[in-house]
Amino acid sequence: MDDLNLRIKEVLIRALDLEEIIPEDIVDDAPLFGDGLGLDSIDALELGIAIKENFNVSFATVNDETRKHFASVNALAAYIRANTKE
Amino acid sequence: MGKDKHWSEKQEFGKGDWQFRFMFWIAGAAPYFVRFPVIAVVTFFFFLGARDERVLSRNFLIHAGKRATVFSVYLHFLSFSFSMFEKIAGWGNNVPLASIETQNDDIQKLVAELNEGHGAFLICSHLGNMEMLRSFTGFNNTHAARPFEVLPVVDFSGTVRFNTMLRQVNPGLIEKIIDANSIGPDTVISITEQVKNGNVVVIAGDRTAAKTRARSSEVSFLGKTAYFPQGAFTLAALVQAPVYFAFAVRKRDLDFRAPYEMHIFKAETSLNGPRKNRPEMLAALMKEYVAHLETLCVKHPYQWYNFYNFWEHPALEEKETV
Repeated sequence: MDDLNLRIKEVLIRALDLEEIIPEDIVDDAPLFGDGLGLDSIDALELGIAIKENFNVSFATVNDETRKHFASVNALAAYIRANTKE
Repeated sequence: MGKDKHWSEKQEFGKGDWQFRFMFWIAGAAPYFVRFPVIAVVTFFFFLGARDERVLSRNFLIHAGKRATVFSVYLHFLSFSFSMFEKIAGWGNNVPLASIETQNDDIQKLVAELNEGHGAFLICSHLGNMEMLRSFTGFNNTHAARPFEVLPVVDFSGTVRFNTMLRQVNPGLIEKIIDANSIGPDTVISITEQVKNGNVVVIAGDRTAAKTRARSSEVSFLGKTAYFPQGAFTLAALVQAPVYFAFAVRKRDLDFRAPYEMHIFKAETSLNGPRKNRPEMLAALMKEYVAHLETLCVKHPYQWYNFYNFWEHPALEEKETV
């Protein structure tokens, strides 16, 4: 369970070049966009690309609907679990 | 936002279907001595009715160093009308390569790149007629030694009627179009793959997608600070392909039988640096593009088909510091 969260954090840090941040700094249910890490929609796009490449889960577009899945690391983990085929 | 409406909020010129059928006839069957007066008269009425566009045209012509008389604004409209008919010809792939004059610029680099099997990311413009670039892609009669696909990224919103027309002229074409308003992770991945497989992606650097218009950057354009959309440049950085700037302009603005010139410039800005340097890389890339655009604008002011005020600060819904 937490292993997935850790992997998501690693992917996030790598994809977005968040040099000064380590996985432990990211709170599982803290918002990634806006207040939390302060990511923007291009970041969301790139995060989506990285998620697809690393977890084989896709996001057709980044809109208000899919954005919910980007709300926090926990939300992303839930989305990946729900959409992983195995 | 200011008094100028964003283009995605504007209606396309012309209403209903009969105009389309008439336009097809003018674009296809009518000889020039019929085509010219018909287009000139139709343009005159549209010129009378399109107050906002008249203001925008005048504004642009002044920036481009032209005397903006009522007549020159009309000529600007006339050039725009002709470009519409030329577009239809471009869509139908009816533009012979022989009617396009290439320059002694970076076209050979692009062709060499394509012949080696690489793809490319082309940033074009609404100066002149991008559809003329299509002639470049019919592989049997062109420079490149292999077939490749051209995938245009287009803002679909507000151009429903235009799309209907496009579908009639060349149904195959519309399937390859990528909607700029729904670019998500999947689209970026697919674009990246297409380019890796040797295809060419084309996007205009001088229009914002309706939904992302908040993202623009300051850049000097024709001597004054203007605001250009970041979208095309950001996408170039994400796709990580060789970037070229491509322009196709009628050789003489107001000679509607003149051949088209194709201008190809390879971008010098490298997009391979670390992600944190991206804002600077994108700014440099945009600056390069705008510099080429500017040169051609001064030479071909009447072929500027952006009826939009680039010098007005766009209303920022989510202001970003770049």
